[in-house]
Amino acid sequence: MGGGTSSYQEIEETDCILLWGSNARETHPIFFHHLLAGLKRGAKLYAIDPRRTASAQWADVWAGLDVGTDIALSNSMAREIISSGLANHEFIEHATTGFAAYRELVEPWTLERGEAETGVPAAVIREMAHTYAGAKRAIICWTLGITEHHTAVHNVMALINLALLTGQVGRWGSGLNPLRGQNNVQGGGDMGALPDRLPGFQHVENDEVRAKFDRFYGVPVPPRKGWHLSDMFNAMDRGELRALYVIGENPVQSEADQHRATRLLEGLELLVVQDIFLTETAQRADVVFPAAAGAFESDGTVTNSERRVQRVRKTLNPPGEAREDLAIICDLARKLGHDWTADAETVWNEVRQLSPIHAGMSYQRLEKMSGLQWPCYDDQHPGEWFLHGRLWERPVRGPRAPFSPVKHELPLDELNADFPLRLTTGRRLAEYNTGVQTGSYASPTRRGETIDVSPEDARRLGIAEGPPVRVISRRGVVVAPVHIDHALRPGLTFMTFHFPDDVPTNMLTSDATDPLVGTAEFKATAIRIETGSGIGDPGSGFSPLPVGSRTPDPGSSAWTSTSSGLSPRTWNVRRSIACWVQPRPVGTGRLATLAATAAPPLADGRSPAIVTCYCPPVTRCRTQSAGSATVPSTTSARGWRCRPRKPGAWSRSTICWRPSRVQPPSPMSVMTSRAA
Amino acid sequence: MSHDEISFHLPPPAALIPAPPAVAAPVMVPLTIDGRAVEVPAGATLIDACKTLDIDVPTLCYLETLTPVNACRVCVVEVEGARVLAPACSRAVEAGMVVKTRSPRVDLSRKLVLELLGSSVDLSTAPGLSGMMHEYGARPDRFQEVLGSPSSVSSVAQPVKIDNHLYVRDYGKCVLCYKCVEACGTDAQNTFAIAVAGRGFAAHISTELDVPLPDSACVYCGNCIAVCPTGALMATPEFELRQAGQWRPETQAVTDTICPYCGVGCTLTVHVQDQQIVKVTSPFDNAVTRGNLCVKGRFGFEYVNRTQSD
Amino acid sequence: MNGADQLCRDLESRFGHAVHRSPCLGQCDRGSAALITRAGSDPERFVLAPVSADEVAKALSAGTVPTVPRVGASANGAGAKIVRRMNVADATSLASYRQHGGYQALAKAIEIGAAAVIAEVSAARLLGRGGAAFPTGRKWDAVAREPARPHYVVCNADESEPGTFKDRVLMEQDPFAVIEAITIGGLATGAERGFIYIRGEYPESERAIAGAIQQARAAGLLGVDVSGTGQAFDIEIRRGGGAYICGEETALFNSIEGKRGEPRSKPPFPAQFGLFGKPTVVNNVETLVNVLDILIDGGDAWSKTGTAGSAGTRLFCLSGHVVTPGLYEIECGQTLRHAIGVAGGIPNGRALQAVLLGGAAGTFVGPDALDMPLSFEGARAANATLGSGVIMVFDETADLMDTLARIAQFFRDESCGQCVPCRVGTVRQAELLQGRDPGSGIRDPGSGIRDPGSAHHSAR
Ligand SMILES: Cc1cc2nc3c(=O)[nH]c(=O)nc-3n(C[C@H](O)[C@H](O)[C@H](O)COP(=O)(O)O)c2cc1C
Ligand code: SF4
Ligand code: SF4
Ligand code: FES
Repeated sequence: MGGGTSSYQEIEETDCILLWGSNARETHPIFFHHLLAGLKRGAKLYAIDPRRTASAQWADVWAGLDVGTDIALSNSMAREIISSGLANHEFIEHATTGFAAYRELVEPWTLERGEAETGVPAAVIREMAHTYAGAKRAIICWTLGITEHHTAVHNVMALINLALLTGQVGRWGSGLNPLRGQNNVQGGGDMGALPDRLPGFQHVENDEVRAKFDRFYGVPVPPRKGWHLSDMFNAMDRGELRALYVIGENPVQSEADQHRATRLLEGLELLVVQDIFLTETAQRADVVFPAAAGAFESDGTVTNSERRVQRVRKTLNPPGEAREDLAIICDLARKLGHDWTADAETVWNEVRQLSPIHAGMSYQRLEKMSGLQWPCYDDQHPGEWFLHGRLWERPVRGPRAPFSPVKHELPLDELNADFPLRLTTGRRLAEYNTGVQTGSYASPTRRGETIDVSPEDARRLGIAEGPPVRVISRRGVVVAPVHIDHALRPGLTFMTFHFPDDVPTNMLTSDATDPLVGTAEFKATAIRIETGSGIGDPGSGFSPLPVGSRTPDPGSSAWTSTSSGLSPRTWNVRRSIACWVQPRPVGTGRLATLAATAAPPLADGRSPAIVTCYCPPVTRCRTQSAGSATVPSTTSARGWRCRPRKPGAWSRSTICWRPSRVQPPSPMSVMTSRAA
Repeated sequence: MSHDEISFHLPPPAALIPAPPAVAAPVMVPLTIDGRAVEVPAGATLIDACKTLDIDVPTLCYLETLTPVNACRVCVVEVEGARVLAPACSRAVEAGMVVKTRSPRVDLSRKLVLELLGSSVDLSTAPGLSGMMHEYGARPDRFQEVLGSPSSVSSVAQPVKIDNHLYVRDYGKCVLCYKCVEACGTDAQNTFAIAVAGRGFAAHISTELDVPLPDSACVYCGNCIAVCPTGALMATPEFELRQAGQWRPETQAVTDTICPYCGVGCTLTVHVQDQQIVKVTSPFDNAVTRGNLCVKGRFGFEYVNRTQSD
Repeated sequence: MNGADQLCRDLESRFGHAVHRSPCLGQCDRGSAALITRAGSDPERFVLAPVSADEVAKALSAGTVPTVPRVGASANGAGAKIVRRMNVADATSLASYRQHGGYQALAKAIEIGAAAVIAEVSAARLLGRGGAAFPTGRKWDAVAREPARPHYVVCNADESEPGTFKDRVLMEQDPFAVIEAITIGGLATGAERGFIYIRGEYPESERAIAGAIQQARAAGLLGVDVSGTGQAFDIEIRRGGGAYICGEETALFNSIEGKRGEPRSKPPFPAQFGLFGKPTVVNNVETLVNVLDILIDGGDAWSKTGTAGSAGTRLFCLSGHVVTPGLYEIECGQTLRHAIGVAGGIPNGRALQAVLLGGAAGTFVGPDALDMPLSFEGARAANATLGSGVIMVFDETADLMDTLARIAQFFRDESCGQCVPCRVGTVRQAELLQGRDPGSGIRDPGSGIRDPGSAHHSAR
């Protein structure tokens, strides 16, 4: 089961917090309130981040490591813990496996080597190791700084290793907590929007589990793992994946290496997009289903970073002909011969029957208890504050927890004389992802996209605050104004991806992905900065460079993984959650059934793929920049695109709106008025 | 043993449900309030004790989630044997206390506080205050009657401060309850954009050096708006609707949902009037938010709002 | 009363905006006073009193610090204790202080130990001289017993009650006594750091205390090892910023901590949750100085002076319509009549109209109260208070309503603004008292004045 192991309350009562690759002060502000309460009670905070972020400013110690050296730092801490006798051997023997191999792996990671590799002073590594291991209670929290690397899973494992080494997990105030970037990342995973899971983290290859689903829905669930997002794009590249149904996701702007993503999406035979805005992706779709906004216009549940399932309620009627996702899916199902009720509670009760960890969460109880934390096995169960308490039971209930010795690897996008600067990306407080939601409120703190550079680099490059420069990576070029940021160290630069219409940052980023879960290496791009006249003039500077280095072959040694399987849901859901896609479609719950029943071969005899994304469909395309009252003409001129791009590709389908039938309720009126 | 094995079969339910470590049962303190005996845990305040007895004590500057500042003094009660009246919101219970929540002295004191406030501050958007005024027979006008002209009665009237798109500050309505300062400071947000400046009657809520909000440290979480008891701090949609005479709370649908943004999972209480979101708050008793939100949760709803033409 | 308005007008016409009207400068024994600040890289501040506009101009242009004329303190004979070194010993010299019996109390304290010191102070039944009259022994005992560390000792030298100047004279004329007493307080209650919070308008006091601390440190009487005891104790000076409210002990803590000077709610009391949230002894200057004699005489013996309820002597600040305004040490229990007599009585044979006891926060009494004993219990019986020892005399010519209006203005200006009854109530009171015709009564305020007063009284 994957999820943050602790509750927010615990961080208020812990003694040591490692905030690793997370700027929670800005990206998880209300979680940070709980963290601050912990600091007030006397907890020590270590901020491990290449940047001295707003969060790091609250820390007792800021460990400013070089981008992509998290495993080195963790291994070095582990060695220090072991060699100074601070490892919890009782716990290790009782509840874990694989310690010997782990000890061997970290043995060479002396403090000195750690310092050399990570840039964090040996004394700081030592202090963190000692405080973390010695604390009565200690929590590690992380966000995308850990997971947006090609070593995403290994990075997470490196942190898990530390907790196993010290026994800082499975107890009140001790745990491992990924902070979820979106309101239902956790819920998406819970509901089986993972390539290998059915709802409740039940393995799709487990016959018993599958049999349960088969019985319930009366159709067999395909017994194989699906593809994750990066697999899908690779499959598109190979021509194996030719039809895509995207729900609430804007991959054209949020994928790393935008050029490639756009090319592949445009090359599909069928692209169906269900969204609340006409996103860049939707503009390239053959069919667009206008959807209701998740949090305000539909009913259902979401799960937060402390595994709390909470009710989402409809507060507004969706505009025009936009409808709840569930209604759209059920209509689709009806066309395929399933008569399902499009009612959120009914679906939820299905989940409760099939997923043991959700069984006790009736709508009534969720209402009464302001949400429940899974696992919650029955109507009397109060939900669980923290996970993995089983590791402390005697004997351990269930299997013991394995150490995963993981090796340090530098980011794939190497620095060299041509690309000497490291670009890392992240979020700002008042903005959200590609700005489609936040773009429409007038945040007084919004200052648009900039390329943030350290004062030292600015001096060296002779650039000043304000004027735009060219930012060049091996994949693309963007033009952005300079912001000098004292939180950055020399050699490190920073951009967000909040303003893709102005500065498409993801033109730069690498699509090198983690072979285990497919997360892309957003956090480590090699760039150079060029100045010159005319930069920023209309039409200048956006010519993509010829592609220099490419993602290595999945077969190459860079991908060799030491472990397989457990995916602690470390992908970046911003780009998409877990997707079920295969030529023999499989889905989760209803969608699995739907796909199984539908699966009519396409005209050319191949199967359509169904891609589902359980991320709330909230990614509307930004129709205006802040404060401007005009709609970009491209959008208003085009309106919804509801026409088959390649005649015949979906010709049998009756479930989508055809241009002839669809006189969309002037959906543009929705868009324009929103913009007004 | 591999990860796969763990994940392939989920472990069975725990025999013992994980829970916070047990804490020693609190020492109970007996006291008498309005002639009724009650026992509350040590460390509780008089107002907590009153609540267990369903005794209503008026408050203005008190909020469960904030440290009491006892600034307004409408909550005073009489503690037997004490020289002065005690603010119920902050006075801790002591064994054997005998408390009267209503007495001529208490009522006079409350009435006076209300009159002093009513004569110096615009309380027109403070919910519940007119009821309180009526209950205690407060007549804020009487100072004017004695002093002759309204201009000889000092007040904090001043122009509304509108310096950003998200919320306005109308300090002519400010009772200086300190709640916003606490919410912005150590009790919740820890941003410290505002504080009390000046002294005496000139004391007022101020950004650093009284600069406009956009030049201050403000991050627009709006947690100050949420705690303001008088409407001195008001989100722009509500302010504009009120200006236009179109603020109709009785027609508003109020629904709890979950914030569409990050994975913290804050409960949003959404106030909808005419199919428009006009205000977002969060319940103070919610374990995740304790009534606080960030700028996205509180103000980032525009993308679902529409205008008349929809 | 002694021409301050005229002085302000003169100064304002000469210096314009550089002149700020200030509340009481604590020079009531000398008449109109001015606090002069010369800005610059090495700013200088000094007080002139009594003063005229000409003298201010002279002082500013001369470029040197003029020596301040001292109208000294004097005491009546009845066992001058606290004031005995004044005008006798050299206030700037540790050696001179020692010659006149200084630092014997500290030696005694070290000899008998902390617990015995507290026992002596308790036996002496010493009550606080800062206004609240709380038993000092009980305060020290409570702090000494608190397990939380560190402990602090704070000497409250913020003396801002209009009409009070005793602490200033003590600090200027006998600074080593203040330092010695704070040191004893620190050793007795287990504190390693003491603070003395000196009113900002008292630059001379600050200079005197700073000098004394320096000499005491040099002599090993302060520092890591006080007088060879192995115990550390040192004193830091904090200067007030011109706020009456910062004399209130918890506001004073906030001020030292760098926060806004606002009172905290009590309980918790300073003995449990004081400076920086730690157990803290806070005492008035005069209270502390009394401890020296208590240790030398022994608590029981010391308590023989004064009355049963009010042991010892007190410093009274006589000002207003008396022949010789000044600081007088008077045994507790003597009558008000006696005190006025000591100051030479009322000049020009005029009749007494009223006496303001205890400062602006005190009470007016009429001629019928002249035989009231100057003790805590005596004052209480007359429904009055001795407060900080102010005796401000008004003869028949004084306009009491004007004085009342000015007191109201004082409180209006000095309210910190934290709670409603004070913030708004003082404004309403001042409004109701303003603009009335001289000699007429208050405009019928209904209960406009008394009500805010009662609410205020009820509140704090
Ligand atoms: C408004 C106000 C002002 C005060 N000002 C002073 C002051 O200037 N000096 C002082 O010693 N005590 C002052 N006090 C009293 C102190 O709060 C405190 O009681 C005193 O310092 C305790 O010392 P003692 O026990 O030695 O009297 C003031 C109290 C109040 C309420
Ligand atoms: S603005 Fe509102 S919350 Fe802040 S002090 Fe004034 S009344 Fe209280
Ligand atoms: S209000 Fe802010 S912190 Fe809370 S869920 Fe929304 S975005 Fe996250
Ligand atoms: S509510 Fe208690 S003082 Fe304001």
